[in-house]
Parts: sequence; structure tokens; C-alpha cells
Amino acid sequence: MHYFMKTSRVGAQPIIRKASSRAGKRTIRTACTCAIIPHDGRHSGGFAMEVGSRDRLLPKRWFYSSLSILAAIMVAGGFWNTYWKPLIDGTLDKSWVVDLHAAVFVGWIVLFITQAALIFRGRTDVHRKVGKFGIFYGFVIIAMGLFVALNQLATGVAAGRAAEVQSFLLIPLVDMIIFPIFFGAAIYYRREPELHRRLMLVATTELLTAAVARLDLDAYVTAHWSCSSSGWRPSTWP
Amino acid sequence: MIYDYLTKRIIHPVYVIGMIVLSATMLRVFAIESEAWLSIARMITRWVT
Repeated sequence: MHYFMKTSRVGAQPIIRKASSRAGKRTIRTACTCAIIPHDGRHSGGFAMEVGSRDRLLPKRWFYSSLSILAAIMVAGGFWNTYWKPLIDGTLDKSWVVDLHAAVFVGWIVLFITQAALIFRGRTDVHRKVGKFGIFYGFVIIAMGLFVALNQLATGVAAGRAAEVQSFLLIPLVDMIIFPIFFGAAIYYRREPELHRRLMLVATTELLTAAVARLDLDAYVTAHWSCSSSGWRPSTWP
Repeated sequence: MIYDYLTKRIIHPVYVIGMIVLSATMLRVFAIESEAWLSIARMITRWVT
């Protein structure tokens, strides 16, 4: 069971190479984590690499894992009325392009949760391997986003809703400009965890705007809460 | 961002830039009916259809 430290490509930040059985990993990794020398923070705005024991890093890992779950909840809630509920009821009437778009974008959220979970479990090695697929998948997201936007434009024009779809086209196009910027930066800084995780979070947040915009919180509040002289209270309360 | 502030008393520049960019993109709802955008959209429509 041996670990050795090797200077990474960027030069300032050592990385740990695993060369041991799984049995001794936890003990050794904790020791190595403590021994990591923080880099100069040149690209991270003063946020040097986390130095500390595995237990000390747990709250941060919990935080990012929880955010990935929250992203999934937002996608489920945002598209509940327009996609998921009709899909479950068997009344969904969307084109195959929209179905493919939904599948690909849900896949991104699944990938996001998986990657956060891998970091949470301390499996950075697997995270990096999956990340190579993630880079490819990010390009699929961009291509799919542009394809759906243009497809919806063509479909809408053919259906006589040209003005409406031409106006709306700005929304997905801007998404597909902003997402690649943060996603590309996250790839570029993939060896700097503090930058990488935050850039991925912002990139995914950009994708979530479509779901958030569809969250019908007003209808939810109206249906489940009532306003009286004593303030807002659940409708089910006596 | 709040997590960063609570734990480090400083907000990471990525979050600051991200918040500014994401907030700025919200302003696009005011531009979707503008003639400038619609002229671009019509050009894209001609290209697509």
C-alpha cells in the first residue's frame, strides 16, 4: 500500500497517485490530504486547495452533493406540469426532438449528481474518468440545445406562430452561449478543484433557468396555502 | 455563494461573475420583442426554413 505524490502538469499543485489496494486507502488518503501543500491560488482568486482531513472536507462534499440533488428536484418540479405529469399519465404529445432533448438534459443532471457523489465518496480517480465522458457530453448538450431551439423555430413558423417563436428564440440561444463559456472554463481549470466545481455549478445553474422559469410557485401557494388575517397558513389547517 | 461567505467570509470570484452573468441573462426577456433581436431572428428563420 503506497501512495506517491507527483507534481501535476500545472506545476504548482501536487496530485496524489494511487498505487495501493482499497483496504488502506482511507487512512493513507487522509494523511496525504493533510500533507497537500496549497498552491499559490493564482487562478482561484485566493481560494487555495482545501487542506484538511477527510472529516473536515465532508461538509463541503455534502454541500455540493446536496446541490446536485436540488438541481434534479428543480428539473422535476419545473417540468412537472408540461412534461413529467403528461408522460406518466400517457397524455404527452411532444415531438421526438423534445423527448430526445429531455433525455439528454436529464442525462446531464444524472451525470452532475454522479460526479458530485463520486467526489463525496472520495473517488476522484473515477470522477476524472467519468469526466472525460462528461466533456463529450457537454458538447452534446450544446449541440442538442441549439438543435432543439432551431427545430422549435422551424416548427413554430410552419404552424403560423412565427412572431412568437422568433421572440422566444433568444432565450435558448443565450443559454447555449452562456453554458459553453462556464463549461469550457470548468474543463480548462479541471485540475483546480476549487475553480472547477464552482464553474460546473454555475454552468449547470444556467441550464436550470428553463426549469426554474416553469416552476409554478404561485399556483402551488394558492393551492396549498391560504391567506388570512393571521398570515399565510397551509390550506389543510383547521 | 452563501456557503462560501459563511465558511470563508469571502465570495469566490466565479460566483460573483456567475451571478452577474446569470442576472444579466434575465434581462433578455426585455429584448425578445425588440426590433434589433427580431431582425436577427428573422434572418435565422430564413436560414432554418
